[in-house]
Amino acid sequence: MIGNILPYLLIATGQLTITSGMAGLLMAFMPLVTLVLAHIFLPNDKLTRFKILGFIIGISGVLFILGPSINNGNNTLFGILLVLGAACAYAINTIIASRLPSYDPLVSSASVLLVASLLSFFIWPNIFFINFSNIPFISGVSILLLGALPTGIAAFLYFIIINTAGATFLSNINYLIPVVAFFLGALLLGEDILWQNILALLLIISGIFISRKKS
Amino acid sequence: MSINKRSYQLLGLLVIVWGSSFLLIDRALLFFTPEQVVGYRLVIGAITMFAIALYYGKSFPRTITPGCTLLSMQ
Repeated sequence: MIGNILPYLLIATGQLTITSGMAGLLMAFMPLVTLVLAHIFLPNDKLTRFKILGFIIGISGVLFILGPSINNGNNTLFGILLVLGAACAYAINTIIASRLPSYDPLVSSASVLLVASLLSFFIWPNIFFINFSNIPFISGVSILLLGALPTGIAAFLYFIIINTAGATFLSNINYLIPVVAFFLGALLLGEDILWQNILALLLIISGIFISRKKS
Repeated sequence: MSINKRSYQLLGLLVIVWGSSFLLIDRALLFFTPEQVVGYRLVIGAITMFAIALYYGKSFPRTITPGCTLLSMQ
C-alpha cells in the first residue's frame, strides 16, 4: 500500500499538472526524508553532523523548487506537493521494509504486486472496464512498459543489486534517477530545462552526498 | 559481495528503467486517469513478476502466515 498504491496515485495525480522531469527531480527528496525517519524509528541510524548539514542543503533545493517564480507556468504547487508526498511514502516504506522479515525477493515482490492489484480492483472496480480499441498507441505502449519495466523488472533488478553489490552501492540510484528522469523529459518530451531546476537538482544531490559522509 | 562491471551495468539498467517511469506516466495520462494508471501498472507488473518467478522455478507459499501477510501489505 504505502510502497506502491499510495505513491503511484500521488505521482500520477501530481503529473496531471507538472512535467515528468519535475516529478523525477522531486523524487530526490526521498533519501532526505529517510534520514530523518531513520533517526526517529531505527535505533542504529542516528543523525550525525554530516547528515544534518546534508539535509539542510537538500531541503533548501526542495524549497527553491517550491518558489512559484521558477515554475514557468508548467507546474502547479499542488502537483509538486503531491509528488513530494509520494517521496515521503517511499521513505516510510524503506523504513518499514528494513524492519520486516526478509523473504525471497522475487516471491515477495510478485506477492506485493498481486495484493496491490487486487486492492486497486476493490478501491476502483470500474477502472478495468474500458474500451480498449480507443486507447491511443503511445498511451497503450507507455502503460504496458510502465507495468513491465519500472513496476515489475525494476523490483527484480533492485534485489539482485542489493544481494550482489550491497545496499550502499544501490543507493547511488538516488542521485541518478532524478537526473535521468529530468533529462529524458527534456530530450523526449521537449520539456523546458531551467537553470533554476538544475541548481535545485545540484543542491538536493549534494545534500544527499554530504549526508552519506562518515563522521 | 563484490562490485564489478556487471554491478555497474545492472545499476545503469535500473536507473534507466526507473528514470523512464515519469516519462511513461506522462504519456499514459494522455488517455488514462491517474487511478487507471495505478491499477494497470500494478496488474501488468504483477503478471511480469509472476512470469519471472515461475521462470526461475520459485514456489509460492501455500499457507498464509502473519509474516507474509505483513510483507504483502507494505
